[in-house]
Amino acid sequence: MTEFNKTMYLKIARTSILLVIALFLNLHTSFAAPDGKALFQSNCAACHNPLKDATGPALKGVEARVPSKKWLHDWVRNSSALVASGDKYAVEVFNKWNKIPMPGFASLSDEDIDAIFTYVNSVEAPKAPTAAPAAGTTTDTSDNTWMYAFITIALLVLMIILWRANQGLRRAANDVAGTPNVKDVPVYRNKVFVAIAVILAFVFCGYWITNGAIEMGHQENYMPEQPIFYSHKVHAGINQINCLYCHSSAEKGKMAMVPSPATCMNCHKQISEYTGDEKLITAEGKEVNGTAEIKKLYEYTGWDPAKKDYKRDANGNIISKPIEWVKVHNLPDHVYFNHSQHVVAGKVQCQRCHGAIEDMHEVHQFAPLSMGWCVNCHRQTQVQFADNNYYSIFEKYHEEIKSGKRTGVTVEDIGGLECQKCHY
Amino acid sequence: MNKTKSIVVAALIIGLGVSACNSGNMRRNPGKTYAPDMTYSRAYDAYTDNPNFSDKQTSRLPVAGTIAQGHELPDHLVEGDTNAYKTFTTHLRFNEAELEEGKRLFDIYCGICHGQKLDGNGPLYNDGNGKFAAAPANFKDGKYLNMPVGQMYAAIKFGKNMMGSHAAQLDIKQRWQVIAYIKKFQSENGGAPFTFGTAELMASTTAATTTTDTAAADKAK
Repeated sequence: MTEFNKTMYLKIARTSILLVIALFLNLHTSFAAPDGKALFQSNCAACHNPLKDATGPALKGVEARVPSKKWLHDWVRNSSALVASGDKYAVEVFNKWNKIPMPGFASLSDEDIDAIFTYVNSVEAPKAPTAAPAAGTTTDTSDNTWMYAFITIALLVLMIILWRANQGLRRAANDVAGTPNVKDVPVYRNKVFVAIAVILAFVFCGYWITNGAIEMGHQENYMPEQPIFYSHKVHAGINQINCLYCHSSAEKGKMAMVPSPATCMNCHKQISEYTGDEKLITAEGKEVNGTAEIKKLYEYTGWDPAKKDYKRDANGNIISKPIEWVKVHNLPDHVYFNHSQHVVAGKVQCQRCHGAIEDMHEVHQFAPLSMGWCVNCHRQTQVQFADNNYYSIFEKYHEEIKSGKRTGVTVEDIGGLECQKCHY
Repeated sequence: MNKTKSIVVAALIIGLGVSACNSGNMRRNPGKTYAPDMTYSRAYDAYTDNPNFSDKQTSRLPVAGTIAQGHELPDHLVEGDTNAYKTFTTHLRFNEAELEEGKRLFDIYCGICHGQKLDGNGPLYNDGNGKFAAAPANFKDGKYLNMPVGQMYAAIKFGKNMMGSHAAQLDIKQRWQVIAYIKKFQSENGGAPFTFGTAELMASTTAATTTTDTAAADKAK
């Protein structure tokens, strides 16, 4: 009996170890290595492009330009300190790029920064615009996950097969040796197995429920279907129309303004068909006829492309109806957010919160718009303190900067985390 | 017994599979929220339906005859009155910083067609290879070099030829800022001397810092 118990425990130990390994493989793929692309998108992409100069310089091959790898790490973590220390190259870069300070990313480790630059160096200039990389970013990450899931399942199946084979062989061996076969305790009544299963289920469900509870109400990745398939990629990306051309009140007021159809007609009086090389693909993978979408615009605005004039009723009023766009980014009623405050005073790039809009056909919510996300940015972002009359009343900070005690002032320092800043 | 075993195993596999699924894909549904009546404003928001008005829109035009604080007085140009355009002008004068702002506004709102070099060859036209087939005005060209400012103003406000009205995007002061920038550029390229000068720092009567859309006020007249 003891002999049997021993083998049984061995067997269970083996099984549970395999199970735990399988779980880890599955759940913690993200811990394997820092994801350079994701880090780049969330921290750097607002101001930097791998290939093109933006607010900051193009980053591809930057390691060859800078004095040393350590310099690069220091720069990323706290560029203001590096400039203040009088480092020659740092001052040169700072002056060249209009003295716009790069916010410090103290939370990034050496591995994170290296991963970012590995990704940046791997970016190739897009070839002909005909080769449409359809929704590339999302498929990449999920591909990886599926691979791990597949491996996990394959391992599990293999485990079961081996276990059954082992059992069969032992039974056969017992028959030959003449020892009586001990009746196995079925696995679901085996106390150790049940205990392990319960613990695993507890951890698993706990993880799932907690995550779900945190995520509930966050509308990240929400991509509503719009009445007209308006591609931001075609307009803001390929045709380089400035965001503010249509959303001009992002500089003037609280709302970023959905442009009136008259703004569309500034160009679409002339451009009545879609002739671009870029294929218009919905999230479901369906191809959209751009010309038909422009026709929809004409129906809303009452434009007659044949007559080149608006259709009017008897009183001379244009026969039109509003386009009922579906709101993508929604902040709850109890949060105050003002676009002009961020765009004009804060000089925040649109992409910082809205993601790479110029690469999106259909717009989705890029940021979680959670309070943690807001607060995090307010903690990390340095306000433009020098040459800014708006902040002249903060005498203490100005003195501290002058005396070198302080390298920069974050939004947090000037009250950006006070509750009533946004909730009132 | 075998059946139960396989159910347990299958459940495990499915569980693992499901957990592998949260891959962050796009979704068409905003999902559930804790307090829907807070998440989705019950008050009328800028773009929500409003049953109190016959056209069901919450955004209204300013009351006729009113001017928002910090805004310029409305002009009294009438669309199509080209003689009035030619003599129309402004009292506004701009300093260096404001002219620099004029350039920024030009690059955003005009540069896409007229080109950031003011040569009428913006990315949308692109020597005729672009999407916009009509050649935009080349401000270096003799035809436009000495164009009256009022005519330029009218073109921004009402549109001209294929160009649409930009009154909704640029308020009155911004329109003049853009024109001043163009005129300054033209004066350096063979045009008439620049008169929007920097002689007096903000000689204008208004201290326009807060600006919303005055175009609507114009239309409401």
